[in-house]
Amino acid sequence: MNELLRIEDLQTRFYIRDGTVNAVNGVSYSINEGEILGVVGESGCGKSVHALSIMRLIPDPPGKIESGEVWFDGQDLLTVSDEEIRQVRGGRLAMVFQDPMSSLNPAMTVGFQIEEALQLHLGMNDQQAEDRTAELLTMVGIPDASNRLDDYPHQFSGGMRQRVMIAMGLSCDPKLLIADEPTTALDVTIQAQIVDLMKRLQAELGMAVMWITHDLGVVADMAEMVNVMYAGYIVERGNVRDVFKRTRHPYTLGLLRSLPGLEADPGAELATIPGIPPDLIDLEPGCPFAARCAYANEQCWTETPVLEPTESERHTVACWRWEDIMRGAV
Amino acid sequence: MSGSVAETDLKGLARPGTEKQSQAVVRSPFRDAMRRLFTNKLAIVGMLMIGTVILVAFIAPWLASQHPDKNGVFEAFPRNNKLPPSIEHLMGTDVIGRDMASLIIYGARISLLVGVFAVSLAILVGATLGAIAGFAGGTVDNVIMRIMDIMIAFPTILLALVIVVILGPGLFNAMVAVGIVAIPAFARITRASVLGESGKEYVMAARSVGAGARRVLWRHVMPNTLSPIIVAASLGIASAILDAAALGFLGLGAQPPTPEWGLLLSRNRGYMFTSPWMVFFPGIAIMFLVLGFNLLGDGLRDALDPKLD
Amino acid sequence: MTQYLIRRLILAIPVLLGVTFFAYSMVLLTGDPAYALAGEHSTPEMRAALREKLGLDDPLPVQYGRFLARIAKGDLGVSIISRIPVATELRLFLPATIELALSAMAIAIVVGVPLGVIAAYRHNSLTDLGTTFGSLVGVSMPIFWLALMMLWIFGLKLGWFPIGGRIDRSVDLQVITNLYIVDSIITLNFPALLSTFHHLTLPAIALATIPTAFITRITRSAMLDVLGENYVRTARAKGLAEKSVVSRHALKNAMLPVITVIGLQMGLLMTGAILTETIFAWPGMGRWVVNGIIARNFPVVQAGVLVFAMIFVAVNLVVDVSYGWFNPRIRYN
Repeated sequence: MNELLRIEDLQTRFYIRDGTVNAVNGVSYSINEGEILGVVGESGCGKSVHALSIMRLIPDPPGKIESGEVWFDGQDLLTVSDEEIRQVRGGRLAMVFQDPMSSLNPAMTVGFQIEEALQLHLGMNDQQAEDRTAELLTMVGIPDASNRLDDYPHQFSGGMRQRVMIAMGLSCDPKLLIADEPTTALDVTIQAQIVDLMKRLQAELGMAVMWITHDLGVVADMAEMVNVMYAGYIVERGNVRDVFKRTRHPYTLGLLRSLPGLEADPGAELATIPGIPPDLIDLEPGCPFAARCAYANEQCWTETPVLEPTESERHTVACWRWEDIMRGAV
Repeated sequence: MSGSVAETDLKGLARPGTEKQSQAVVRSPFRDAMRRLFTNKLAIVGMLMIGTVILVAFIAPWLASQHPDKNGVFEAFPRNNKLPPSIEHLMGTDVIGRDMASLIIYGARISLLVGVFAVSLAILVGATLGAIAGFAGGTVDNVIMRIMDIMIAFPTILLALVIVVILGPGLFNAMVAVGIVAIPAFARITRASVLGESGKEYVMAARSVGAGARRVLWRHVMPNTLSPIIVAASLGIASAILDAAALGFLGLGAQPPTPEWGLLLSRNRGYMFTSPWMVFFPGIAIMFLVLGFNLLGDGLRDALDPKLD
Repeated sequence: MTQYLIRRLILAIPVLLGVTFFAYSMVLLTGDPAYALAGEHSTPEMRAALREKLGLDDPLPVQYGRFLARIAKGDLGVSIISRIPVATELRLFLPATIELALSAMAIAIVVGVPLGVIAAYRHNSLTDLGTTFGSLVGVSMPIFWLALMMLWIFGLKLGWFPIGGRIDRSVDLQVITNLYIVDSIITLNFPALLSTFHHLTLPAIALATIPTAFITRITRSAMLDVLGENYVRTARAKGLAEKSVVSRHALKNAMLPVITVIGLQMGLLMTGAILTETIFAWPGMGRWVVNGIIARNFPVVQAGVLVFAMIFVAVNLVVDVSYGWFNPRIRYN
């Protein structure tokens, strides 16, 4: 399969009054055509920021994409001109955001907001754009689509609004669709519907999907590959089966263990990872998880781990002690 | 795999060998606000401007070259009239020969007094009305706010003019009139704050642990209500000074021989074409003081609530 | 949308009633109209008879009702000083003020909105700081002083603009509406149009300074808020050019608070007009009412107060309605 997106050593920082926030610290990975990648991590781990960096949507000031390369479809998105990146955005590379109520323009009709993209990237005229928009809305499961083109965002329910956003993202046949926590703001039942919808659409249209979430369940359901992020680093990466069943990083392990299971003792306390994520301001070298890790040694505190392959090539982990931990020699 | 992560206690939350603890600095919002205020350059400029005027007003007896007598009358020197600015008379003299600089220096007292008095009146009455309206709700709220709406329907000068005509011209009545005109703004702000805060969760939380209504009001609602009022107060003083000057200009505010800046402007208006300094300086003085309060008000607004609209 | 309009109209009625009631009663607060009408040398009997004739001893609500009835018929009384029907004087002076106020407002919007947008777009640059400081200075100036200074510099020293009146005495204009701009266009009187603009320039600019400052500030602040909103990010993510993002997506949403301020500015414009007219010898409402107040010319004051307030209420109504247009959510509530 062909490589669609390759990120190399992406670093993004925010310069604020209290210091420099190291939001994304050397993220490198790739996505193949048609692949579904899940990106998981806690709030503030950099998953959203790195996605925005890919699209060069980081507000500058106070943010800055310090270094790195983002190869998409033969171009390094970080170095192309403004006009070129605008061509890519919304067209071959599209993004769906977390909160559909605030992400849709309240003063414009839903139809207009989608038609705009169609006319911009595909050069459609008014009628063509309208027809295609109605098709798109139907495709994402909005009933009576053609009559809803002139409705405003506030006239839709939360789940419907997210479908509209998805339609907008898909409108110009993107090769990669980045979905930034698209279900976080929705009810659980609606979440399930949206996940199903995305699975169906992906199967039909064949685009690659990056699904950013903090919900491990969704990742297990949808994704083929998964990146686990922590404090702006990728700490573990591999296909879903490997990462969930043959977990190698203490953080991932902690995450998985904190999920309440059906077989668990009803009276038992929920497992948690002690401590809190590190302050991203003026982050020091060393493993970011060291303060909360039961296995941290001298090296962990001083040298920042890099992603190394484990038993399987594609399953990589950023931990100095992964082998020790695996063998039980801690 | 040995040792479940869950069994580990908080080992090594601090990096070994260092004392670095996670910082849990307690910062009161008040101190935050003060820090923001004092790093805002424009706000500091504003405070300096206001401070200058206050200082001038204070040391008037030592600063000015001419002083008013018991009745507030400045001595006239008809032979020195309409002199342009010079070393002796930094701002020239007016039509009857009085030193403009002295007039303006003493006028500072009046403008400051007017601003503070009018706004204090407006806050006292307005905030009370607004709080009553907000807490009582229902018809009381409706009636009070309708009256405020009606007051706002009139251009401020017009309303102030009418009030001054009812009360009779004079500096004190002008101050009262300007204060009355500013009441609706403070009423609205207070009411909005009260309504807004009452619905907020922390109020409900406080009440759920048994805090009575008065305690809730005093310790929880009031501090949040104060911010917009403080901002409005500074800006209100700016407007009050302008309004009072306008009344003075129209002859319905301060009366001669009071060296109120607006009055000075109007009295010397006729000679503007030949001796523009007589009109220029009083206006600059007004602008200086008003700008100071506006800058401060703006700075306060940014400091007290960075997201305040 | 029509429903919304009707609802706002109905809500405006109590305010209108309150305003008219105040206009009526405040006059009585300032003194005895009979005294003013009859004059200083009148005897108590003459005044009593006058009071009876005018119905001044009837209960207030009755007087008020009569007052409303009179206004409805268009009878605004007769000016005590000039003996001319107030309605006639109103027809003379109101258009002059409207012309001045609208010109000033037009200038303020045309200058203020783009300035505010640019300042927001170039946040924290020198342009931005300069604009902020400039607008603060603008609202801190006493307008009567600014008008005087402008008059002195541009009217006297440089002689570029006339210093009084609405039109050159030498120009003949057939007056229909008393809005000189309109009249000169209707009668195709080009020299009159030119002269009118010439005379309008200084007062309109002087009057426009404060509203421009306010509008610039609120536009900048509203744009800054909107530019940080998520839907602007979405617009950029769609690949739209920055110009489109600002003008199409951001501006419409930012206009809401701007419109509020424009509405409020009308009130300030009236205030400013009162003072500006005095200085530029502009024959408008402001000067007329102020002179009326000073001379205790009750019918004039009543009419003036009434008209000012009604204009304000009308403007607020327009603002409310345009809210609905700019923010569809309000329409459907």
